[in-house]
Amino acid sequence: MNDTIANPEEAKLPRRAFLRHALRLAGLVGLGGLGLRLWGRGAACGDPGACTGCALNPLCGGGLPSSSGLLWQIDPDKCIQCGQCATACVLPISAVRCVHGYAMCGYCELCGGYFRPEATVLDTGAENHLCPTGAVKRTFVEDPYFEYAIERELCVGCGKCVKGCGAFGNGSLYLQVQQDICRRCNECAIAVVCPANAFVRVPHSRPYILRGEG
Amino acid sequence: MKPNHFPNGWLTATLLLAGIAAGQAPPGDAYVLDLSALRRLDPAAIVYRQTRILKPGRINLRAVAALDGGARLALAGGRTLLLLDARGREEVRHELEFEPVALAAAPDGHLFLAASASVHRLSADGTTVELWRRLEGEPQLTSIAVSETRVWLADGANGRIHVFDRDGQALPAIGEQRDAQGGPHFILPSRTFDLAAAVDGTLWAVNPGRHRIENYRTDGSLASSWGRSGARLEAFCGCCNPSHLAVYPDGRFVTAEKGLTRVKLYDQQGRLVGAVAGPERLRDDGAGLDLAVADDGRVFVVDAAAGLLRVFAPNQPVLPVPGRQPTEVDR
Repeated sequence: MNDTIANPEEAKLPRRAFLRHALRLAGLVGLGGLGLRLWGRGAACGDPGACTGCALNPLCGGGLPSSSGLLWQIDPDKCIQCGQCATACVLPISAVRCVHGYAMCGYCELCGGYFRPEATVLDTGAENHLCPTGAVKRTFVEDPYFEYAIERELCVGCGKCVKGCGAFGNGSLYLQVQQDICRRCNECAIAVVCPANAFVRVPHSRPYILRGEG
Repeated sequence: MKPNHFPNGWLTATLLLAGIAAGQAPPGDAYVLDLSALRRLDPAAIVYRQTRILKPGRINLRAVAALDGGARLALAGGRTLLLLDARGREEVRHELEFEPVALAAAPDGHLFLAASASVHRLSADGTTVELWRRLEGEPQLTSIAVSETRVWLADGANGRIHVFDRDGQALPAIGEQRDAQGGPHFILPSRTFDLAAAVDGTLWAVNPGRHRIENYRTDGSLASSWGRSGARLEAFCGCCNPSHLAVYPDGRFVTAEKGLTRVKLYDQQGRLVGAVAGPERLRDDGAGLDLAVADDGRVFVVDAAAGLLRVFAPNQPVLPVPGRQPTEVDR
C-alpha cells in the first residue's frame, strides 16, 4: 500500500507549469536546431585556415577539401541567373562572382551586361548601370568598341549582368565559384537552393568551368 | 508573485521562426534582372496579325525570298531549295551540292542563292541551279541582294560587301575603307549582316554593331543611314541588331532583331510604325530571323528555331504599289 498515492492532486503537474516546461523544451529544441543549422553553414566555425577537421558536424566541410576530393562549381550552361548565389552562400559576400570570357565578348557599345535595359544614354552614369554594386567597369578601346571588366571585390554574384549579356549579347559573362573564397562546405548552401541544379562537383585539377577557351 | 515566462517563450519561438524564414527569402529585385516586361509587346503597338504558318517538310528552314512580288516563295535550308506556289504548296524541290545561306530575287525574276563562298542562280525555267560566281579568299557570306545592275554580297567574316555587276564583274567593295577613327566600318559582333535592294537601285545594309541601317548608292558611296540603340520599341536592342532587313517597294522597312526577338515596321524616314510580332510569338536560335515582304504587305518570317515560316498580314490594308498588278494571295 506504500505505492498508494495519498493525495492524487499532489502528483499532478500544475497546468501552467506543464505549459511552461513544454515551451522551454520547444525553445531549447529550436535553439539547438538553429545552432546546428548555423554550424552546418559554417557560421559557427571560425577561419577555415584554423580548422582542425574535427568532424564534429557531419554537414561541415570545415574549409578543408571535401571528403570526395571534389570542389563545387557552377555549370554556366545550366545557370539561370536567379540571383540566389548572392544571398544563399554562407559567407557574408558570396563566393560566387562573375567572370568574363573575353574571347567570346563582342566589345559592344550597347552591352546588355553593363547597361540597364531602360538606359537611354550609353554612358557610364551610375543611373545606367545594371550592376547593383557597380562592379562592371567599362573602358573605351576604339570606336565603337568597349572593354568590360569585373571588379571582383565589388561583385556579389547576383548574375544580373550575366542575364543581360546572355539575353542581348554573346554570353561572355558568367558566374563561377571562386575557389580561393569558397568554404567548400560538403553541403553547399547555394547548391541546396539552386533551382537549375547548376551546381556541380569538379576535380581539383579543373576547378573552373570556363567559357570561350576553345 | 512568480514572474510569468510564458510570453518570453512565444517571443523566442517567433523570433526563431522569423529568423529561419528570413534566411529562406528569395533575392529581391536588386539582384534579379527581370526581362519579362521587355518580352511583352504592347498589343496596341502590334499592327500585323499572323495569318498563316507554313511548316515545309524535310528542310531545316534558314532563308526565304519572295518571288513575283510575293505570289511565290523560295525557301532554303540545309542543302535544299524549295519553291512554293501562292497557296504554300511545294512546286519544285532541289537537292543541292552546297548549303545556301541566303536568297534574293532579282527584279527580272531570277533567283540568286548565296553559299558561304559562292553564288548560284536558278535557271529561268526553274529546273537547274548553276554556279554564278565563286569568291576568292575566305569569305563567309551571310546575305545577298540583287538589283537590275548590281549583285551585292555581305561577307560577315571580313566585314565588307562584295559588289558585282550582273555579268559577274567585280566592282570596288563597300566597307573596305576604314572610318574616320581608323576602325572598321561594319561592326559585326555576331556576324549577322543582311542586305536588301531598294526599287530605286540602291542598297540597304544593316550595320548591326552600330544599330544602324545604311543606304548605299550604286557607286558604293554612303547616302544615308538611320537607327538608334536601346531596348525601347523604336530602337534596336542588344549587342548587334537589326539582324535582318526587308524593304517594301514603297520604301518602308521591316526589321528583325535577335535576342529580344522583334519584327518591326518603319516608314521611309526610319520612324517606327509598329510591331509585326514580338518575343511572345518568335523564338531565336542565335541566327536571327530572315525576312521577306510581299507587295500586298505580307511579311514572311523564318522562325528557324521552330522550323516554321510565319506569315503576317497588316491590320490595315496596304495601298497598291503603282505599276504592280495585285497578286493572288492566300490569306
